[in-house]
Amino acid sequence: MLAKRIIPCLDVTGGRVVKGTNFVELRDAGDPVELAHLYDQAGADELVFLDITATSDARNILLDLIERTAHCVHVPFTVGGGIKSRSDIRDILNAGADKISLNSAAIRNPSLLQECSAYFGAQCIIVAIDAKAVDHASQTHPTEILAAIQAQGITSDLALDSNSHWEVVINGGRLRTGIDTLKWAKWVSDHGAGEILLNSMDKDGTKSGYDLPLTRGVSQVSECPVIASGGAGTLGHIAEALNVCEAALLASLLHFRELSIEEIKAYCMSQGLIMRL
Amino acid sequence: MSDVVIVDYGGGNLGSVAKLFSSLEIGFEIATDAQRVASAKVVVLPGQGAIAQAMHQLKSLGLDLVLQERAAQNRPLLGICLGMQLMVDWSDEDGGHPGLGIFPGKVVKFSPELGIKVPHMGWNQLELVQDPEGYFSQIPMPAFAYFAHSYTVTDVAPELVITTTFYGVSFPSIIGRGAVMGIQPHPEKSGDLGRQLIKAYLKRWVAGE
Repeated sequence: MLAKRIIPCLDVTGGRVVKGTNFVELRDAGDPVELAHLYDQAGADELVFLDITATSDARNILLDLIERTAHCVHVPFTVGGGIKSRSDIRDILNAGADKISLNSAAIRNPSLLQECSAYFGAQCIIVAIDAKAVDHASQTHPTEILAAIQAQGITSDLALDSNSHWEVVINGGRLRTGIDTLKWAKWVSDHGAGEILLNSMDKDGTKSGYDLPLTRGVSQVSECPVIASGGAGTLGHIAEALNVCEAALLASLLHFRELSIEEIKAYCMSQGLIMRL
Repeated sequence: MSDVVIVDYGGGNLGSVAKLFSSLEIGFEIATDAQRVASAKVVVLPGQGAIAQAMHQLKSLGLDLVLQERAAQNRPLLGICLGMQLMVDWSDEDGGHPGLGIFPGKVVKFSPELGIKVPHMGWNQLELVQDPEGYFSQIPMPAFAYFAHSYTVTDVAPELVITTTFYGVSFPSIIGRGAVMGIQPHPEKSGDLGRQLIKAYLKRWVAGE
């Protein structure tokens, strides 16, 4: 039987792992290669690197980091952040990553997802979605980004409507898109995403638990596996997320040694989940 | 010259397979040349992505015949992921394409109607069916291996099935006969299990133990 996955996430900037609350107040959490090696040894099922600076300057630092990390991990290794083109993907895979994660680029250019999935295979393309609760009472929905996508004529209707609960946001949560998260998840799953990495901007850094309705909703509309992210604070949070999706992404809880992968897996197994030990 | 040749036909996960051999301190060469692939002691056929493109590239390099001949002569050939799927005679992918036909069998897509997510992505268990070459004699079974695929080999003769894995259905996850073996999961991403399995295969066919 397929095991549920525990995936440490390393948010990297300037060659260091950092962690903050709601993408601000970043704290230093260590050396990425060192942490990757540690997590590989500790039983991580995969690793994710998110390059949160992703300027062209940082690109070479990142490739060097990927190469050094790839040498010391023996589980799949995903890199995301600032990927804009097929050649970016080629460089990152060549440096030793197994998968890449597209976020804003898939929104701005949905054909990139289809093109790269056909070229590299869906199994190495993750689409990351940052979702935020819609406040129907106080908002008019932005239309610019949505209009730009719809004008490309390749997607279905993605607009927020009166039934929408979550909006897709980009640029680290700073930019609303007017796109309904469930509609977007279904579209990417049907058009080349091998997995969806779903981050709740409302829950990120709060330690109040994953957004279960969001995670369940995305999982129900997507044919591909879903990785939950944002909000883990306790063992119970992780197990309840893994009951509605395939994998849980973890950052500060692991980086600051509040929980270990070993105790997380032992707890999940005690709750009847299948884990790889 | 190295005993091990990894075939480079532009098929994808060459880098991570090469990394695995490096970390095991096993000498290898990466080759596209048909003669080199024909003469190697052990040939590794990696791959991911689309089968049609892979077959096209193998054919254009003259490697399809070389690989078929090696298999017919029971000379060591190890297919990994797409490299395994290429070993059977037909794939439903992209409207249907013939494979190398080393083993009878076909490649079909996992059906989401089984209540499963597609691709089959993550760590799943290898259940040992039979192990005539002793690859698993030192490996506690069942063992978890890392999978990443939407298509699976099926309709393989029972005597070729080394391990099965359950994902909505039970499917052959490692197949083989004699020195020819196909592995669906990625040994290069499967931690210690992958390393042990590759070592056992090479011990059997390079060292001849």
